[in-house]
Amino acid sequence: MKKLLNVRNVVVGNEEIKILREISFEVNEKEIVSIVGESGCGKSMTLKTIIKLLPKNLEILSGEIYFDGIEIVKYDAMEKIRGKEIGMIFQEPSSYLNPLFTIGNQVEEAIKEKIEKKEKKERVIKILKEMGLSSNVYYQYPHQLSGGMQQRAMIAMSLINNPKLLLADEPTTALDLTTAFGIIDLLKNLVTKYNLSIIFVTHDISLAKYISDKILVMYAGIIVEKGPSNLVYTNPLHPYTQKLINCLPEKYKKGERIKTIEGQVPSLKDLPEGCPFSPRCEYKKKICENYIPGEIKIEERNVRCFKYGNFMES
Amino acid sequence: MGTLWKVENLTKEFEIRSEFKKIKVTALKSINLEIYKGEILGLAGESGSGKTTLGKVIIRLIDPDKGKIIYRDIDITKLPERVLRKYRKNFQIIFQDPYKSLNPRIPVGLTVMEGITGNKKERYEKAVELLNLVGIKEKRFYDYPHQFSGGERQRIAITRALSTEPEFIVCDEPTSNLDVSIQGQILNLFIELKEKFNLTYLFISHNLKIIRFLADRVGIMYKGEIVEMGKTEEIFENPKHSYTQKLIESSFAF
Ligand SMILES: Nc1ncnc2c1ncn2[C@@H]1O[C@H](COP(=O)(O)OP(=O)(O)OP(=O)(O)O)[C@@H](O)[C@H]1O
Ligand SMILES: Nc1ncnc2c1ncn2[C@@H]1O[C@H](COP(=O)(O)OP(=O)(O)O)[C@@H](O)[C@H]1O
Ligand code: SF4
Ligand SMILES: [Mg+2]
Ligand SMILES: [Mg+2]
Repeated sequence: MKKLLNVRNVVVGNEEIKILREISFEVNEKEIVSIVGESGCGKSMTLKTIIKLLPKNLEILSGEIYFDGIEIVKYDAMEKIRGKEIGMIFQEPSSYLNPLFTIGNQVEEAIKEKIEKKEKKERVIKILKEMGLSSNVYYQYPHQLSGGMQQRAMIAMSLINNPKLLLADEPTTALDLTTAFGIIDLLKNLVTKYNLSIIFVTHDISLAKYISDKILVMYAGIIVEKGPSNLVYTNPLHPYTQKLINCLPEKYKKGERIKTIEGQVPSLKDLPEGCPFSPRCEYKKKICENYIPGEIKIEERNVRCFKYGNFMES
Repeated sequence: MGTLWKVENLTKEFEIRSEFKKIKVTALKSINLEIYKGEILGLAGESGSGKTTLGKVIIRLIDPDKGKIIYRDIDITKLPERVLRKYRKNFQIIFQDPYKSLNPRIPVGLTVMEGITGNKKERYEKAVELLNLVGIKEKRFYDYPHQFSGGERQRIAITRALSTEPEFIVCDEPTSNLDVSIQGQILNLFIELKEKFNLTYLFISHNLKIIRFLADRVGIMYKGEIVEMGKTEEIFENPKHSYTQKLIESSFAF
């Protein structure tokens, strides 16, 4: 398998706070990688880091990001990559589509190649159809489409320049389940059809298992567990991953109480000294409060937790 | 279990104006339905199928075009607002977006106090008690909605709904905007409050995993009609309508 994206020890933040701390992961060609975690854990920031669209007050402080032979952190021509080599879709398609222009117009506008108008139109209608939309959509305005159709139009726009990598930030969270399911299967099929890799952000780990090859679990800006989706879901190692799975209502019978995660995601301004999960962790020992666990390899996974690797005795 | 609500032949159309013409959308197509006292009735179906409209028509936030709404043997379909007012406090609605039921310019504690009767001290104490019940501390009484997280805001919206001591609450996708972890807490809270206050819920969600976990009976809506209705286990084990089958299949694919 060929590596498409290689993120190495990336730290993002400023003098006051660190939003992402030593993030490392890889995305292979034709692979779907999910990022899961509660809101505020750094999922969206990870995507924004890859395309260098960080808020003004934040920067990449250290680390490297290799994408298809380019080192992105030092690269200064991101406009050549954004929307071309790397496409993006978001949770609210309506806020990224311009209400004043037809879908056809907007998708054509996104084409970077210099080709004739007629050829552009053909290409757009072809891709709309591949996304499961009728060619009529070419002439329609965003408000005339349902949420699911808008998301399909967004996907068409993000793929019009044949990107190698698609960044998808909770693209189905705002949709009802039947519609979401259609989008998810569409994305899965695109991988082989377009030779595409996808980073898929969601807070639903059961959805992550369904769609992706690998899962990264984030907590307070750290990847606490990563590995093959099936293993992470059926046999989670990190206490946070275990608790995330235990929150799902489908794990319970009627009348039972859901075992939720006590407490909240810590604010990045006052993070605990040691393991960021320690205030909510039932396995916490002294060492967890004083040191941040490093990454260790175990059962085909990388885990950051002192439970593993003979630390707990001390 | 007695019947709390009975609706017959409820029909509702909306008119939408596009540039050149008016189009009619049928949001509800002669709906018949009973809600028993003390149950959780789940309502599922795709976006636009009429779930929210049905919830709002039942508690008369929207008037139906045709049909009857019977609440505890009283036909409230045509009751004028001044008569209806004495029943209003008995039913509440909780939305997906808690901002809809919280005034951004009023401290949350005062919003909760609004629904409570009695003198000022009693109302304050009752509001504190209710907020405590959902895990919001007294020291946050005078904080504004934007100072709370999404999950906390939903808890406050729930408290506001409880403040009038209702017996029936329409819960319209109350956890769809929340993380799975917060969703779990809120679902537990709904169960606890139901037991504590003898509540009846109409629980709207497009997430069948939640419906199966929570509801005693479930109705499946499709294009303004209830296409299938019955005990939760029976519907999930043996769905009859093809739309229900499709819905269950896509819901449990992952
Ligand atoms: N005030 C209104 N004016 C015009 N049309 C409306 C209005 N309210 C609802 N509708 C239409 O009525 C139909 C049913 O809408 P409703 O909001 O009840 O659906 P829903 O099942 O709650 O959907 P969702 O899952 O998206 O919340 C839709 O076609 C909707 O566009
Ligand atoms: N411009 C910013 N300055 C400082 N902190 C920020 C900024 N933008 C986001 N954050 C913080 O970064 C963290 C990660 O945010 P985000 O990646 O959006 O989370 P997620 O997508 O997982 O919900 C959050 O704690 C958020 O409050
Ligand atoms: S390092 Fe310690 S506190 Fe952190 S998750 Fe592991 S056991 Fe829990
Ligand atoms: Mg996000
Ligand atoms: Mg609705």
